[in-house]
Amino acid sequence: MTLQQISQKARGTHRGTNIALLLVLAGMMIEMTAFIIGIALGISYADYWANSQAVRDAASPTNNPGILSQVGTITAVEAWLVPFKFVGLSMFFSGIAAALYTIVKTMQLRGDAFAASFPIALGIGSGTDADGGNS
Amino acid sequence: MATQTATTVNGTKALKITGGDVKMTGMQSMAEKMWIPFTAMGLMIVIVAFILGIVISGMESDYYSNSKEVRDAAVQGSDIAVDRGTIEAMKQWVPGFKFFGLGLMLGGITFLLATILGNLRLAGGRVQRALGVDQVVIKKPMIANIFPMLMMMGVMVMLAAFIISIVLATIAGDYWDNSIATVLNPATPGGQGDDLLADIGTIKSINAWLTPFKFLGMALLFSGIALALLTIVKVLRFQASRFVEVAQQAGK
Repeated sequence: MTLQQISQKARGTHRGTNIALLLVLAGMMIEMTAFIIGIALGISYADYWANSQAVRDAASPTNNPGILSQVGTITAVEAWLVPFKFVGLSMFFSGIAAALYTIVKTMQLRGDAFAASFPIALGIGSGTDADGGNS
Repeated sequence: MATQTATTVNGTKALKITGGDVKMTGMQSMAEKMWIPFTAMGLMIVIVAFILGIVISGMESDYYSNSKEVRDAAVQGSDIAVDRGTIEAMKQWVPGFKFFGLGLMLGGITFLLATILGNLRLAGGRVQRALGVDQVVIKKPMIANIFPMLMMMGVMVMLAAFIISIVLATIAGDYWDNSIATVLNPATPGGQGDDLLADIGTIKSINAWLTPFKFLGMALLFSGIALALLTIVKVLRFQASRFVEVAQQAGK
């Protein structure tokens, strides 16, 4: 790879950087959403537990259906909110993996740059026959 | 004293250091000293949380060796009621403590990544000095300013979650140190045990958002780590460009 080719490759931002940033942003949005849903769930919890145990236990579709619907909502939301938070975390792990992959590619490019430029800088060769690598 | 002059290398903003050697930035020097205490403290906290988990397990085993009638009838201040209060209190604050430990460990990793950045900066400067060319380093990219802030925010969120869980633990301890059959179950709003009903409402409602809040803290810490890694990418690409530039100048 020639010095010009390396210079062109090193210019701008690697695609992996943008992918990593997108994944991190998606993860952050998921965690923020989970937090907001958690606050709403907290309000439902406070309402539900403001009733005595007798009222909570006696709730049926005909008697106090509101309480029954509330406990249904709380249970249903909690069932998917926990995995949803982990989806958010997985976005971060994917983003970190993308960033690490980009580091690998960049280190290969840096290796090419060293191989091509050091012989010239030290006056011991042309440096244009440097191994292209796969960066 | 070293002076810095703005320049560009292959379209990337950079700084030419003259009259001295390239040194780590203040943040990088601090990170080099802080990563060990953060990681060690975090690890100790997580291990202590594990030991506390074993303690809770032993207490629960004792508590459930009593029949349901005996457990439910245990009055305030009795060994059984105090045990239940202690178990419920510990179940509130131990997870917060554990997450705080994890937060410190992730903070330590972020500091370590900042140390890697500092060493890349030093190594780049040393190689350029050895080649007898101007020492040029990348101008701190925006993400390099953001990642330490994200890390600190993440640790603060974890600390806040831990403090909230301690407050909840005191409420839970008070609540469960009552007879389940004669005080807790018959509690009615506006009547006998109204304050206890409010207490359990507070515990349940705060717990509903406290767990996502801890995950938000983790999200901030992981964002910090990802941005630190992307800063490393930027620095490595800059160094590739800089060495090509040095060779091009030498070839002329």
